[in-house]
Amino acid sequence: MSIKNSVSAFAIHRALGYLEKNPETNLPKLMALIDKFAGDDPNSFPKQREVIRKVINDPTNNWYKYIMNVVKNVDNDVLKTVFTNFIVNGNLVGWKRQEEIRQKYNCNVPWAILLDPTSACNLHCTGCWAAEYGNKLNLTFDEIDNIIEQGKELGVYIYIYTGGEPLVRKDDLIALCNKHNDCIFLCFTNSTLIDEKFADDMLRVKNFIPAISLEGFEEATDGRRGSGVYDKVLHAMSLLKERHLPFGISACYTSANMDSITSEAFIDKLIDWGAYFIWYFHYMPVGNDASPELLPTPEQREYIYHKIRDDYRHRKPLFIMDFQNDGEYVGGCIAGGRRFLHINANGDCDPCVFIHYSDSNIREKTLLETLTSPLFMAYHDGQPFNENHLRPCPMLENPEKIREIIAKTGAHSTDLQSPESVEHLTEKTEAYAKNWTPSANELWQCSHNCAACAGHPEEK
Amino acid sequence: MTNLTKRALVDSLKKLLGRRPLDRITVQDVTDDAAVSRKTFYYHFRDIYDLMEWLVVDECSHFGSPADGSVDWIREVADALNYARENRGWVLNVYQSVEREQLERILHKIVGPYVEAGFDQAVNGRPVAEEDRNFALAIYTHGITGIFLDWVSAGMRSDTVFLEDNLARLFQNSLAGIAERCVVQRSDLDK
Repeated sequence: MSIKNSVSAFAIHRALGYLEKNPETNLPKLMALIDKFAGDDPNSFPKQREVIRKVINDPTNNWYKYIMNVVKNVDNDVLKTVFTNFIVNGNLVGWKRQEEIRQKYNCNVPWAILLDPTSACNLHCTGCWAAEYGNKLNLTFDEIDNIIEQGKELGVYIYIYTGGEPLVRKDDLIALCNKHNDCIFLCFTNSTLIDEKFADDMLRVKNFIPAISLEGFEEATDGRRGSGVYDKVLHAMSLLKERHLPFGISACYTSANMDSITSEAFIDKLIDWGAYFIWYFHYMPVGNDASPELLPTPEQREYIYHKIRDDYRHRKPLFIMDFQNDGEYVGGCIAGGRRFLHINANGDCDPCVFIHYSDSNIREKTLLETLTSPLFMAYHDGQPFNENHLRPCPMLENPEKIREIIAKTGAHSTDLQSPESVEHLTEKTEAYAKNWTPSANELWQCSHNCAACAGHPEEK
Repeated sequence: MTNLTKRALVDSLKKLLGRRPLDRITVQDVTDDAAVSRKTFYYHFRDIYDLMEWLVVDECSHFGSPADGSVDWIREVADALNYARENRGWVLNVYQSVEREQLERILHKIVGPYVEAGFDQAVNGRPVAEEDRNFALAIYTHGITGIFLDWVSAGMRSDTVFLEDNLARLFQNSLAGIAERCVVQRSDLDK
């Protein structure tokens, strides 16, 4: 960081201290400081900041309530750390660096890196491909450390653990959080391994945010994850809430659970439990044994599209993301290193956590070499895969695209348990893609009818 | 991961500091010497400076904290200076490699309680304006820390009688005098 950057970051840090005392008055002042730090150039997220500024100045807004919840209920030191690492480093500082590399090498540079510390898991949930990767594959502490060091060189300060169950390697995760105290670490987890000691460690390092997997309430959750898991999750959430630690929820929607997992009762309960966000993922029929029957119908997908966009986002103090339906806010597919890539526990670099094909291994190549490899360049050159961002994915909504990419680049399957051919994979999504197209086109037309539509966010 | 592990790492750093300055000691050197993994190191410490800070605080804790009741300032100051002299090896190696600001920050945490004890001793329970108290504590903490660091940077002269006498007098007389002036007078209370 330049001297100017570090002085400004220090000022922001100080301003965050004032939030503790009088958030209502000081939040607008903090925003003014951020605006000054961010500057005017196109890389300073002007549209995003404008949205936040509007919200901060409107106390009746559910987002105002949300921000106040965050500021008042999250541990103040954790809030400062998350703010500095996520917003200042991960976005303002990091983005500029990423853009430099993007221009220089004409390749994708991610905003976040997903990685699997281990393929091991203490649960055996139905339909989870992670549990099928029987062999106990691991990235060592030194390997993960090296990935993060390389990432920071490229301007990446956001790391997201998946797997397997990352908390099987608790001490490694805390050590990495401690060493890389300028980064933010999200972690998809079943949370059953969160105990008092780990929660205390989380409070100590301040930069670790779990996204806890739930299927819905007790019946749905225990049904898929095993008896007693729901109670363990409740216990984990109470440990976190006690310590004012922020966390979110990760939920996969299928044809079987759409109603329960999007119910208002569920959303309200999440807020009650202390969750600050929920990340919805569309079921992906990945793996030789995956069942296409679980794919949502077009009606179901339309249902959640409207529920979140037209209803919950206007009323609920909770940050709700729908990975598949929110493509338009991020310009379509963000995989292939465009905004993220995935490194599995064997070191293979997948373009996406759902797409298990690779031509690069982090044990053999650097991160930059991976980003400029044929597979990742095919993504770079092909994105966006569809003008209609409700059909963003090269596997789910445009299956011919992933077939083309794999054929052209010769990427191999990274599923070591049961390698799946791209033909077998896309057989399961062909029908889905055809069925979804009419609804997707209609919805897209409807929301992009008028060029002067005030709600249309600019693509990044 | 227990305090035994932290102890092993601290002991290794202290040993290595006896031979060379901090900026020529790597995390790998420490973990090799203590026979623990890098992961174990980073679980407890952010970097070598974090471990060094722990070492300094740990060493100073051998002095104990300022006792309740009366403190023998001459004794305390003499002990502190002697200790620094006996450990001149690693103390000088740390001083050479660490930014003065970080050293000040660590020493303030150690000197501060002593200054507080001296101040509170003199005040003896009477009401004191908080702002005045904080200011007085800051002045003396900064002053004593600064004088001590100057002495270290000049190579720790062996003749410290002048230093001991004057530091002790600071605590005994000067600090006590300022404390008196901070006590809120009856007449002020009535306003």
